Parts: sequence; structure tokens; C-alpha cells
Amino acid sequence: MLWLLLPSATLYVVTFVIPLAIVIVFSFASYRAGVTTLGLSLDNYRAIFHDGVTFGIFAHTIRLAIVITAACLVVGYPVAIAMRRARPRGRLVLLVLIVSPLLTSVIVRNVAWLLILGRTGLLNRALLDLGLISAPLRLMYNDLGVVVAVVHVYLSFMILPIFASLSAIEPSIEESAMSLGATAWRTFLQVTLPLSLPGIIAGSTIVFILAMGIYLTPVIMGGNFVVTVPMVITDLVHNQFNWANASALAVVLLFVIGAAASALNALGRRGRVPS
Amino acid sequence: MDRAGVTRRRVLISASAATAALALPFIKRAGAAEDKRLVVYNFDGVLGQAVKDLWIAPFAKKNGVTIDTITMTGSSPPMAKIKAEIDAGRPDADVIPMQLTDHVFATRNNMLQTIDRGGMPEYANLYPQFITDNGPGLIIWCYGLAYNTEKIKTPPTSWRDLWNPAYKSKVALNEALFEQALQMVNLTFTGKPTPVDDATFKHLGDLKPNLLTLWTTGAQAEQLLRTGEVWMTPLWNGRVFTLKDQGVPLDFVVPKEGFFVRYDPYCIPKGARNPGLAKEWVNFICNEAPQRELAEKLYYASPNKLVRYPPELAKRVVVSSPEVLKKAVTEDFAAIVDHLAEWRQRWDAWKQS
Repeated sequence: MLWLLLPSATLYVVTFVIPLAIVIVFSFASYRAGVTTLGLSLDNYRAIFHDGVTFGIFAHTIRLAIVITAACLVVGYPVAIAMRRARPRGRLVLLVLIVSPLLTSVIVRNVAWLLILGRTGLLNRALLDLGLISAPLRLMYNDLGVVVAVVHVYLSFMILPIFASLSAIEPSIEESAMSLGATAWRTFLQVTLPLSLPGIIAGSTIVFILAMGIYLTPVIMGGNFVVTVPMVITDLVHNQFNWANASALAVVLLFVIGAAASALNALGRRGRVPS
Repeated sequence: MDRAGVTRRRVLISASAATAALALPFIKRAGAAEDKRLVVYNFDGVLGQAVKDLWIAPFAKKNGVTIDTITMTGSSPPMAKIKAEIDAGRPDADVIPMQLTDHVFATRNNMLQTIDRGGMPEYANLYPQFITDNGPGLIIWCYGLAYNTEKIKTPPTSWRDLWNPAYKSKVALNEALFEQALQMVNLTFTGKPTPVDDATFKHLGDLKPNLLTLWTTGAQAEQLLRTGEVWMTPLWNGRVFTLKDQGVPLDFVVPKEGFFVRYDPYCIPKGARNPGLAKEWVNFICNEAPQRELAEKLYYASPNKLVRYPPELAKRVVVSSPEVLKKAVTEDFAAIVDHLAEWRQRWDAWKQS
């Protein structure tokens, strides 16, 4: 029955394995004055850690991805609980609301956020009119704007796995805890939350991976002041023609994402309740 | 042994049949009147449409040829893809307009055909500084200051006005042309575009309180100016006057320190399928009529000496005569490409600071 895998394997090899191999080969190439020469140089990797700028951008990208993941979790978990408790119709409405950001293009979404978070945007205007502030707040063209816009769209990737986990919990387990005298809060902390851990891990992994790849949102919502690794890679390829450096950066990015995903996975395995 | 009745041979046969079926349209197309078909890269948006209407359609009609276009995202062709295609001997286009840094990269990688100047009759009418070995530099756009006429009553006269403390958080720069922003800073304070050094970044640091954002595309700059979020930004003339005509309270000034001029060499890649027709078309678009028409429509200046601009248009195209051109900053694009990595790192470091 192995031949059933042939189409997907072919697709995988052509669209993933071969391009990745090319990227890896290029990451050892050397670049000088616009011309790339294949070779076995480690300079591109060395540059990431020693040029004094790229490493900082890397650290900032990871920090940003962690903040985005945490924000998605904090905002998304209560929504997942609400979805679990809702009746079928309410659940459907919530689902449509949660998934709707994915149906619009990144540009449209960001322009909408510009209108809300801009200096003359809805939020600043409302706060000014209410007399709560005397000058417009800087709500975008910084990390905050990027986090808000990215959380908005990636929230669904957090909510849906958590919802799936929560739905799998037998209500009788929670009811037993309550009937044994546990408060609602304690039941949540000691029963519901641990049992939903697989969903939290899955959601966090997906959101973190996606957040490590943000590119357009920092350009628009961060006003280019927020620089992420994908932005550096794009610039290297597109404007500097330095594919050697770009490839090395892509390989390291892939490695960091892989490491983070495995760490989260291991965390999930350790936290699993023995059945 | 194989329950589904699928043998290796059968798989191979169906796979090759499928490949052949997929390849068929390409084989057929390759056979069709190849000498009558040209493929050119084109801009997106209004500029792309104008090039189609004024440069492509008339030539195609007059000569009974087909000109297909590949639309570029932004104003830059996908150089990595084009290089791979040229290396494989099959570029997907016959003519490619390139930004000047792209052009340096292309020549260093031996990607372009040399166009014999003698074979291009219209070159005789072009200002020589716009003729490269690989094609004529067309669509001359000028970088000056765009400003909001409702918010700023006294028109700016100098790049230094960007630093005016009255414009706190009301100024923006173009991230996509950050190398030009760096040269602009130098021009403002030293009168020369280079060298980019510590002093450059110190002045840039002083500008930070005024900087609201760094935009990347013309559409973004347009949106910032339309909403009044940004009052002043370096921008190219064509974009400003198009907006002004739509009633946006904007104007364009050429700062006294000088202005930046950029243009796109129209180049023919090595291995182009139809270099003869490509040269004919490039020569055609250098002519007075197509050049004048584009200037009239979108205010991009022409390198053609025969193009005459009425006074109002002359102001808008900026580079309307050799005298005005003398005020343009001389940029060394080979040096820019050589410094790009260093400048970019310092620029990124400055942004984080």
C-alpha cells in the first residue's frame, strides 16, 4: 500500500525537500560584490552571531513570537471555554467570528487596524473625546501594533485546538471534583486546565511557528521599526542579492523553530496525565 | 502480488502521459510565430497601465505583433528568478526594466545583452547620461519633498525642513530606498551624498522624534499623506502630482541642496527568445511621441531631448532641461551596491536604538 504515498511524497520532495536542499547548499556559499560562489564557507553562519545586529534581530523576533503566543493564549483560552459551554448555534457564531480574520487578506486587515490604532484612529479619537488622554497615544508603528494585528489573525489557531481538548474532557470528571468539595476555581486549576494541556501545547506550537515568520505585518503595523528575521531574509534576497547570507539565516530560523516545537512537544508529553 | 492491479510499468506510463499532457501547452506555444511575440516585464498600478496603453499597444498594433506582459510586484523585477532562468538559458522575458541597483547586480552577473548603440537610431536623441550599455534609462522620476499644503503654510525649501521640531511625529521616510535616505541626510548636512558614516547616523538619530513611520510602497505613502497622518516625506514627483490632481492638499518641492533622480534601464537578457524585436520595441519607446505621452499622463520625465514641456508640465516633470538635470545628485550605484550590506546593518541598528 506504500504506493498510495507516492503523490504526496513526490509533492513533498519537489516543493520542500529539493528547495530546502538548495537553501542549505547556498548557506555555505560565499558572496562578494553581487556575485555568489558556491563553496563550503561557514562565514554566513558566523556573520549571524558576530555582526552585532542580526543576532539582536533574532532575539527580538523570538521575544515577539513569545509575546504573541502568550497573548493568544490569554485571550483565546476564555473564548475556548465559552465555545465549549455555548449551545450549538452560539458555538457556530463564535466559530465564524474566530475564523473570519483568516478570510481577509493581510493588507486589508492591517489597513483596518491603521484606521483603529492610528494617531487619528478610532481608539485615539474616542480616548481624546472622553478626555482620558490629552495627546494621541502611540498605539502602532511599534511592537504593540504588531502584536495586536498578529494576535487578531492567529487567535483562531490557538482557540480551536484548546476547544478540541476541552470538548474531550468528560463533564463528569469536573462534576466529581465539585461534588467532592472543590471550588469552581480549584476545579479549573486542578482538573480542567491540566486536561486541556494538549490543546494549549498544540495551539502554542502553531502560533509560535507562525509568529516567527511574520513579515508583512511588522512592515505595515510596525512601520518598519520592528524588524523580524523574515524581513531581513527578504531584504537580503530582494535588495542585496545576497542569497548566501539569506540561506544561512533561513536555516538557523528553521532550526530555532524546530527546537522550539520539539521543546513544546516534550513539555506536552511530560505534562500528560497517565490514563 | 499487487491487489489494485497497479504495476510499476503502468505507473510509469501514466506518469509520462500526465507529464506530456502538462507540457503540451508550452510546446505548442513555443512553436507559434515566435518572431511575432514579445514578453516584457511591466510595472503594476497606473504606471503599468500607462506603459501598456502608450508604449505597448501602439507598437503591437503598428507591427502586427503580440506583446505579453509580466507584472512586477513593486517596481523591481524578481532578480533571483530571472538569474536562474538566464543561467538555464531560458529567460521568461525579452525586455526587463530594472532599478539601478538591480542593473548593477545584473551586469556583475553577466545577465544582460550589450546593445550596440549604432543599432538604436533613437539613441541620437537621448541625453547621453541615460544610455547604458544594456539599454536606455527611461521613466525618470525625481525625489524631492512632498508636503501637506493645509498643515504646512510655508513651503519647505530644504531637506533640513524634515528636522523642523514643529513636525514632531509628522514625518516619514522611505524604507525601500533607505540608501537614498542616508545619502539625503549627508546631502543636507555636508552637501555631498557620501560617505555614510557616524555623523550620518547621528543626524538620522536627531530626526527620530519627527519620524512617525517608515513606509515601503508608494501606496502606503499615499495613504499616510491622504489621512494627514504624515505632513512631509521624501517622495517622487509623479506620485505627488497624481494625488494633487485628485484634490489631495499636497505639493512637491525640489530642495535647494539638490534632488535625486532615478530611472529604469530597459534591458534585454541573455538568451532572450526574440532580441531583434525586443530592440525594435525599445527603440520605439525612446521616441518623442511615447515619451511625451507618458510625461503628460504621469509626469515622469523623458531622456529624449526632443520632448518639449509646456511650463506647467515642466515644473511637474522636474528634469525638463539639461540645466535642471545639473542640480540632480550624482549617485554611484556600483558603490551603493558595494556598501548596501554595511549600510543596511547600520540602518537596522539605528532603528533598534
